[in-house]
Amino acid sequence: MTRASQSSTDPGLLLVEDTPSIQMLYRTVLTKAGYTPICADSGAAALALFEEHRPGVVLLDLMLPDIDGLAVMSQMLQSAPETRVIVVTANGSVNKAVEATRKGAHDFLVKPLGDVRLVGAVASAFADCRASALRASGANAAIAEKVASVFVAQCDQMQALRTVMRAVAQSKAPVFIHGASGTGKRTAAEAIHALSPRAGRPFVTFKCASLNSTALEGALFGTGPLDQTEHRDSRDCAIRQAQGGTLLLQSPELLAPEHQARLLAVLNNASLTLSASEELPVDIRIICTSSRDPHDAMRAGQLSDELFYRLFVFPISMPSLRERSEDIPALVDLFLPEIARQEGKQFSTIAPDARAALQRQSWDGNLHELRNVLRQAVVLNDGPELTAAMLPLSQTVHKGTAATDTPAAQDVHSALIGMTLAQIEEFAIRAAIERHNGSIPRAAQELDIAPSTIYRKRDGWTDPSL
Amino acid sequence: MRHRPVAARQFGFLTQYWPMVLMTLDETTLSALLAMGGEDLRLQLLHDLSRIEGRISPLCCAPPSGATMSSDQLRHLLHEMRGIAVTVGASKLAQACAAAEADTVALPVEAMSSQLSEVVDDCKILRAQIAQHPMTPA
Repeated sequence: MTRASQSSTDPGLLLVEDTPSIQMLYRTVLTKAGYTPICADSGAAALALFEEHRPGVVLLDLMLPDIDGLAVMSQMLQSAPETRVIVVTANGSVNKAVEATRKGAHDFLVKPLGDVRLVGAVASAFADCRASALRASGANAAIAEKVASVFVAQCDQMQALRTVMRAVAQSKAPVFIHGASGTGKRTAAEAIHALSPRAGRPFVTFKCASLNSTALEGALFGTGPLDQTEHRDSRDCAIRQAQGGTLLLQSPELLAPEHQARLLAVLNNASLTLSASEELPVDIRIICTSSRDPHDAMRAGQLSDELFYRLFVFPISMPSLRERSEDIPALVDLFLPEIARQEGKQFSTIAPDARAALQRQSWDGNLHELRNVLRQAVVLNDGPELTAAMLPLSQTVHKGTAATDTPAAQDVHSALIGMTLAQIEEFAIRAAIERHNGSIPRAAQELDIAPSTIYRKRDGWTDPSL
Repeated sequence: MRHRPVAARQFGFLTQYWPMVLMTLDETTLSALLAMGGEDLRLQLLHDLSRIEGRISPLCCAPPSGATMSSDQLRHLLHEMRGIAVTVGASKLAQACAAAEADTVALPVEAMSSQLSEVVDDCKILRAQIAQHPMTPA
C-alpha cells in the first residue's frame, strides 16, 4: 500500500460515506496509510462537521440519504473554496462525477476503490493543499513587503490616501485605482486586499489587454455563456480562482463590449453563468487599476456607462512620485536594503548629497524609475554608503529647471550610459508602454514587434509590473 | 463455490479471468478486504447486507405484503447494496442491483418484485459466502 502519512500541519480529512461497512473499510485503509479521518454518514452531518473542523480534504460519496452529494460539495466549496473535494461514485454514475468535477471537485473515484487508488488520491489532494498554502504564504510575504512602500507616507496626500485605503479595505464594494505608470496602482490594490477581511483568500490579477477575445473569455469567465456543448474545465478561470477573495482587473476599459456586458452581469447577479441552466454563485471583491482616467475612457466609449458606475464606487487616484517628493528619502530607505540584498551587495547608509539629488529629480517613471536608478547604483558600486556620485541620474529626464534642460537626443544618449543592453531594451519598452497609457498592443505596434514579445520579455524583468 | 481449484491458485495469471468464467464473487478481492478490515469488517458487511435485504424482502411478494416504500428510497437501498457488492467483488449481485436501480426510474415499486427477488437471492448467497470465507492474515 502507498504510505503517505498526513503531516501534523495538514488540515483534516473528512470522510463522508453513509454505508457503515464501506465507511469502516475506507477509514481502515486511510488510517493504515497514516491519516486520521473524521467521519460522517449523511449530508447534514458532513456539513456540520465541515463547519466545525474545516478539513482541507473531503472524501465525499455522491449518493447520500438526505442531501444530494453535489449540493453538499457546492456548499462546502462556497464556504471554503480552497477545500479539495474528492467525490466517490458507483460505476454507472460517472456522468455525475464528471459534473462534480466541472463544479469544482478536485478528483473523482469510481467504486470499487483499490486501496492504492484511494490513498493516492487523498495524498495528491493533501499535496495540492500544501502547495497552495506555500504559494499563498509566499505571495502574502511578497505583498506585505510591497504594502510597506504604499504606506511610506510623509506627505499629506499619501497620508490621506492611506486613511482612505484602510477604510475601503473593510468594504466589499469595488475600488477603481488610477494613476500614471509606476505610481504603485497594483501595490495599492494588494494593500487593500491585505488589509481586508479577505486577506487570507486568493488575490488574482487579470490583465484585460493581454489576450485575444476568445482566450480572454475563457481566462476570465471560463466558458462561453450559452455554450452547452463546451465541456472545457472552467475551474482555472480568473473569477473562479478569485472566489472568496479579490480579483484585480488591470485596464478594464480594454475589455471588448461583450465582455464588459458579461462582467456587468456577473457583478449584478453575483453569479457566473456556466451554461444555460447552470449558475455558479460568485463571491469576489473587484479592484480595477488603469493608467487612464476612467472618466475619459467612459466618455470615449471604451468603458460602458453601466460598468463604469458599477466599478467606480471607491475611486483612488495615485499621486506621481514628483507630487510626493517628501516621501523619496523614506522610499529609498525602504528600497535600498531590499535591492542590495537581491544583488548581494552591502549598502547600509545614504549620503545627504544622494538624498538631495534624488529629491531633485522629476521621476517621470515614478517608483519604477526610482528603483531602476537605485539598482544601477547598487550593481555598479560597492557600499556601504550610497553617494550622489554613484547615482546614474542622467538617465532621468530633468524637467522644470533651466539648469537641467538639455537637447532631447543628448538626454537619451546620456541616459543610456552605464546600462546593459537588456536594461536599455527594458527602458525603451517601458517608455513606449507609458507613452500609450499602458496599452501593450499599441506599444508593440510602435516598436514594430508582436505584443507577445513584450509579454515574454517582461517576464524576465526584475519588476514586471507596469 | 468458495475455493478455487488448485490449478487456478497455482497459476496466478489465470485468476484474473476466473470471475468471468463462473464465479459470482471475486474471492481475491474479498480476501484482501477481510485481511485489511478483519472480523469487524466482516460483521459490519453482514449487518449492512442483512439490513438492506430486510427492507427489500417485503417488496418481493406480488402484490407486496403491505410494505410501502418510495422509488427514491428503494433506489437508494439498491445503490447502497450495489456499493457493497462492487466493493467486495460480487459482480452478479452488483449487476442485479444496477438493473433494478435503473428500473426504479420507469417502474412503480409494486411492479418490481421479480427484479427485487433476484437481488435478495443473490444477497443471501453473498452473505453466506462472506460468512464462510476463511480469514487470512494481512
